[in-house]
Formats: sequence, structure tokens, C-alpha cells
Amino acid sequence: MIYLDHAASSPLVPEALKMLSEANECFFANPSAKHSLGHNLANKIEEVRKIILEHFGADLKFDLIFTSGATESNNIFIQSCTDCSTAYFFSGDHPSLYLPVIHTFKEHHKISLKNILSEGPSDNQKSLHAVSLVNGQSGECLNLDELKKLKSQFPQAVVFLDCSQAFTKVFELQGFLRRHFQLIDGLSLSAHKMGGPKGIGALIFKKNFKLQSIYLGGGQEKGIRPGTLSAPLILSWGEAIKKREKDLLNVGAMKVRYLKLIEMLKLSFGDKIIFPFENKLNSFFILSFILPSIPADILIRHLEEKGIYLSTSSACSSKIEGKNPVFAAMGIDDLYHKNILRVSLSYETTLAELQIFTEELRTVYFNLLELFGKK
Amino acid sequence: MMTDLNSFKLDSCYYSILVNVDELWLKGKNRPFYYQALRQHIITLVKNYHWHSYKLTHEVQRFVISSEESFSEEFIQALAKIPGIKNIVPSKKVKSDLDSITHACIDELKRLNLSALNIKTFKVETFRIDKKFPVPSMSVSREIGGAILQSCTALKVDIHNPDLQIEIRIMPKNSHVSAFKIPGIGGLPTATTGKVLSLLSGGIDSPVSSFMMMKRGCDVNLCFFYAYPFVGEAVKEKILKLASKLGVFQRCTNLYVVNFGPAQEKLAKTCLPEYRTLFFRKLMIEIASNLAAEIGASALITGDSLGQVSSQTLYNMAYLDEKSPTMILRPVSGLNKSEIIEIAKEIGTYETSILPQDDACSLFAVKHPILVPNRDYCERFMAENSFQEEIEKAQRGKTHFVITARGEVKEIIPITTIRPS
Repeated sequence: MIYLDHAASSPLVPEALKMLSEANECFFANPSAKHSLGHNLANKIEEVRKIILEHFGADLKFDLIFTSGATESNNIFIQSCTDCSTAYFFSGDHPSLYLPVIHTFKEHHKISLKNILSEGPSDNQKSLHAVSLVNGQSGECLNLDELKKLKSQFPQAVVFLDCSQAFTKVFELQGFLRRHFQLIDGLSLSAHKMGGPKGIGALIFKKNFKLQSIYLGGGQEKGIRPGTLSAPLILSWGEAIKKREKDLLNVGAMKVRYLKLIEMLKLSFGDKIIFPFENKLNSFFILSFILPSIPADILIRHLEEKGIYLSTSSACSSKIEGKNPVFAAMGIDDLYHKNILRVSLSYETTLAELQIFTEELRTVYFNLLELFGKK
Repeated sequence: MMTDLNSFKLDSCYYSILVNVDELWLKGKNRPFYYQALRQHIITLVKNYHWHSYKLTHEVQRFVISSEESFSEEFIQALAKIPGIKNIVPSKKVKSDLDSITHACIDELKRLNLSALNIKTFKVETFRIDKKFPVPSMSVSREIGGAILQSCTALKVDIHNPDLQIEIRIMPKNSHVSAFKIPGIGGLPTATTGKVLSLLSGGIDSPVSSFMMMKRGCDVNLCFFYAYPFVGEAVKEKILKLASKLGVFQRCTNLYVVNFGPAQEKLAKTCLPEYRTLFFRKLMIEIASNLAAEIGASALITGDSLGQVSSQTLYNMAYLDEKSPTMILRPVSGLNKSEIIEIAKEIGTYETSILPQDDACSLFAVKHPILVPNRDYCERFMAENSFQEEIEKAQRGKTHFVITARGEVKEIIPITTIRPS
């Protein structure tokens, strides 16, 4: 099997799987318990908390709470911004970002990705700017330097970044908050996009930021997110993070594979392939492209038969002409909304796999072009 | 054909149902065979919807189902879908004395939503089946009619063409009182006129064709040609939904899903583009014929409608007919589109059929498909190209579903594919 849908989810790295199994077997106590089994576990959890905060250089000025994933983290933070009078978001972003914004703020602004870090309120009111650092569909990455401009232009801006596709994949993020702690007010993380287990994520937020809790309970996680912490998930995630931090040092190799993939695709498809996000800053782990004339879901089903898995939008190749608003927001022509394919990689993806993928995609595509009489 | 049953308030008040049969008066010596089939179907439904003890008796032109527990609305609605039934009459069972009968009649009328059903006139008809009953039938009718006029002042009597006919059947032990008849779908009892295989697509026409043959008492088996990987699972889900809606008219329905993608691909690569749709259909009919032979079906049913799409010309159909080893019946070929849509709405398949879906045939289709096939080309093509391998592969890889009388869809996994670990 050649799995190229890591942006949707990724398998556990072996260290994480091992820890998950071990923790489920041995670390079964409640971390809030008063006995030593509980204490030991609580300490282990604090270690992971520290590891994550230190990764960002956020250990002094920020706090971290564990949640069920980035969606929950996004909702907690965004819905807590009650003293912001307006909000800015990108409509081509993940729904777990723009839906809470639309829900919470009567006044909200849809901005293009280009301008999300340069637009703000003219009257210097407190505003929320919520966006994914790396967009899960296009792979586009925001330029962190622009945060300086945003904060200097709008000192009252509250900046929230969803980093689920960026954590351990964007080199500049490491240690970023040590020097630039004033530029970001909150960020969310997800474990299963980086080789950790599903069902666990985190919310990092400025120490004095008031988060609202939606539900009440045993007071865990500063009362914001009560409920017994899942030690097995957290410890497993910790192992995944340690592994990925080592991989991050080698992210240059990832870049090589990513660029080689683009090169191979260009070679195989010539002028038939379109890269809509080519001249932008990109994550080396996500590549979206367009192959005209053949509906993407037919291509995907053919590849599926050969054991190759990738992703597309959810629109089907039926007679109904459906314009996908997310793609429209990204600037993709309506014509191509059913022809978008997304390949997403992990550190474990090999060049050989990418070569086989390109060859099979080429065979299938040209075969279908001939079949449907579209030369 | 089918009344909206919601105005009737059927739940939990009837302990007795009369079932009048449709065309069986046509059948002479064979009558017991058809009655037995109908009886079996009724019993299947009782077992599925009414889990209490019951009695099913058979009189000259009807059945009577009675129970100590009242029948549910679900059961009565399911009963109305059985082929072979002219109408069903939910009735109240009361003691055979004038007072009880009168009260029962008035109760019935009060329970019905007369204004919603637009009922303004009525008539009372009495059948004195127990000849020992002291009052003659005309007098019973008159007395009860009078009592009704007094208590339901909005109603008037019309003995020629009443909106509602109240029927009283006076029998030795009890009397049956009923105010309305629920029309059935008519036709002949299921699985009495032979086994057929119906080609089901996701469109509006083929479910209607299948239903029409079910109504005529055929044992209708369904066959769907699945064009994966050119279409996705959503299409298969749609077909299962349609099959579920159709299954409630029979006791047990088989659905076979045949993987047609590889065959379509090979055909599209080798034949002239304008012949694609015609040859797809020819291949489908060939595979369906083999399947029909395998299951013992004597005819194929298609949703062909004349002139609706370009491949459905008389010339194309004639060619396909000629080449088909099995007889093809086309129930909706004489119906207008609006008539087909009306039936689809009544049987509940219309909403599902109109859901947009990937359509493999339209992906492959060209602007001008052939209207009159060139026989020479067809013969030559078929002689020069063999699809035996694709046909066999499609048949071997077919999946089998069974739809119960309740419309539940279950996949049948053949024992040979389960490997012990």
C-alpha cells in the first residue's frame, strides 16, 4: 500500500505505538489520584506538557492544556474571545476555525489568505485573527514574519494559529515563541497528524488569557477542560514528538522529496497538470494539483484498486455542477473544482513510493483521457 | 392508487381486518394455489409486524385476520402493499345486538377525520350473514343510519354515491363494523406467475418497472450493474435504498450486484464511440441472461421507455431483443414520463431516484449515439471481439443481497469465501 493522505491522518510512529500499548497495560491509574500510581502518572504527563511548551519556546509565558484535538482547542479559544469586537478569518480554512468564528462573532470578516495578516479594524478595537498556519488543503504556509507587521499595525489584535499541519513540520516554529511571545496569543495542536494517536491534542495560550470552560467537572486542566486525562494518549504523543523533533532536524530531506515529486509530475504530465499554489510559501508535506478533464474521484478510485490512497474534495463527479466555496476562496477556477487532487506525505514517505505513484497516476490518467475521448 | 393513510388514524384500534382479493375470481381450478400464496404472504407480514397470536380464516372472496391484540398502523400499511389484494377493511368486532352495533358505528365516525377526508355523505349497508338474526338488513341500515344522522350532524345520506360506506356484517358470534376501505395495489399474489430478473439502475423508470411486475404476481429478482471504479459507493448505496423500497411488496427479494466496470472499459476501448451505449446494454443483457438462467428466471425486465433517451429507439431495442437469449419485458414502454413519475411517487422510489449520482453511461457517452444500428458492423464487431472473460469475471464476482418483507437489506456472504484462520 502507498498511503499519501497523511494530512487527513497518519499512522503511529513505532515509538508511539509501543508506548500506547505499554501505557494501556501498565499506566492505568487516574493521574488525579492521591496515591503514588496517580502521582507518578501525573508527573509523566507534566513531562510531556513541558516537552511541547519547550518545543515552541513557550514554557515561560504560555500555558498548555490537553484537549481531544485541534477542533476542540479551536473552539475553546475562539469562543473565549468575548472581549474582541470583531474577527478575521479565511473562508478557505478548516471549518473548525471559521465556524466557531461565525458562531461567536456577530461582526466577522472573510479575508483572503494573502491579507489575513495585514487587515484589521480601522478603529483600533480588539480583534481576533484566527487562521491555520499551514492550510490542510492547499499546503500554503503563512509567513511568520508578517505577524510582526500585524501586531505593530493593530496592537489590539489577538492572534490564534491552528498548527495541526505545522507542528514538527515547519522548522521556523521551533523556539519561535521564545523570542516572539508577543506575536501569538494561542495555538492549537493535534497528535494524529504527526504520528501520534488519535483523540488527543492541545491548546497553548498566553498565561493571562482568560479561557472559558463550557463544562464543569473535576477541575483538571485548570478547570477549563475537566475530565480524567488520558495518560496513554498523552504519553504516546510524547514519544511521537520526541521522534519527530529528530526528524525535523532533517526536514531538508523532506524538501528534496517534495520538489522531486513536483518535478516528476511536471515531467509526466507536461502542460496538462496545474499547480495552483506553486509560487507561494508551502509546507513540504502537502501538495494539491489539478488534472483537468477527468473527475478526481474517478482517478482516486482507479488508484485505490492499485493500493494507492490519496484525497480530493468531497464533491462527486456527477452531473450536478457544484462550486466548492472553499476552493473558490483559494482562488481556484470553478471549472476545476472537481479535478483537484491532494497528495500529503510523512517523514516515512520514500522517493520510490512517490515514483510509483507518479507512474500509476500517469497510466490511469492517460488511459481515461483516451477512454472518454478527451485528448 | 394508494391512499394517504395518515388521515385514518389506524393505530391500536382494530382487532379484525377483512382482506378482499382482486383478480382471483378469474382463476378457476387454480384458485387454491393463489389463495395459498396470498395466505403465506399475509402470514409473513403478521410474523414481521404483529407478534401476538392471531387467527387467519378464509371465506369465499376474502380473508379475515383477527387477534386479541390490536393491529398496529405499521402492519395495516404493510398489508395494503401485498399484491393480489383489492382492498383491506379494518373493522370493529362487536356483539351482535343493535345497540352495540350502533355505538360502534358512531365511534368509528367520530374517530375519523371526516373533514380532512372530505366526507360529507354516507350510506349504511348491512349484510345479515347470520340468518337467525331477528332484524332484517334493511331495517338495521335504516335504524343505524338514523342514529348516525342524529349524532353526526355534518353528514347527509346518499344511497347512490356516498363518500363513505359503512358496512355491517352480522355473523353468528359477532358483527363486524367498518367505515372505510383501504385500497390495495391489486394484481396477483406474489411468486405465482413466474420468476423474472429486473435490471435496476438508479433512475426513475426501472424501479417502477420492477414494481409493476411485482404487482402482477411475479417473483421479481433485481440486478444492478455497478460501474466501479467509474462510479463510487454512493451509487451502490442508492440502489440498496431503492431495493429496500421495492422489497416491501414481496416476501423476500434477491438483489445481485454485478461489477461492470472492467467490461465497460474494454468495450469503450474497442468499439465505435456511437455504439458504446448500445453495446453496454447488449453486454448487460447477456450477463443478465446468464444470471436469469442460473436462478431460474424466465424473463428480463427493463425500464426501457420508448423515445426517452436516444439509445431507446425501436431499432436499438429490436436489435437487443434479437440478440437476447431471454425474453425481455418492458412494462413502462407504454407509459408517459408523467405517468411513470406518478407511480414512482406512490411507491416511494421517486425521491431516492432523483438524487444526483455518478452515471457511468453518461461519462462514456458521445453526443450522437447510434439510433439505427448497422447490423453488419454489429455482427462483425461481436465476431471479432470476445468479452467472455469479462462476462465470467462479472458473474463470479457478483455480490448477493436479500431484502426482507420489512425492507431490510442484508448481504449474503457465500460460505466458500469464509476462510478458517
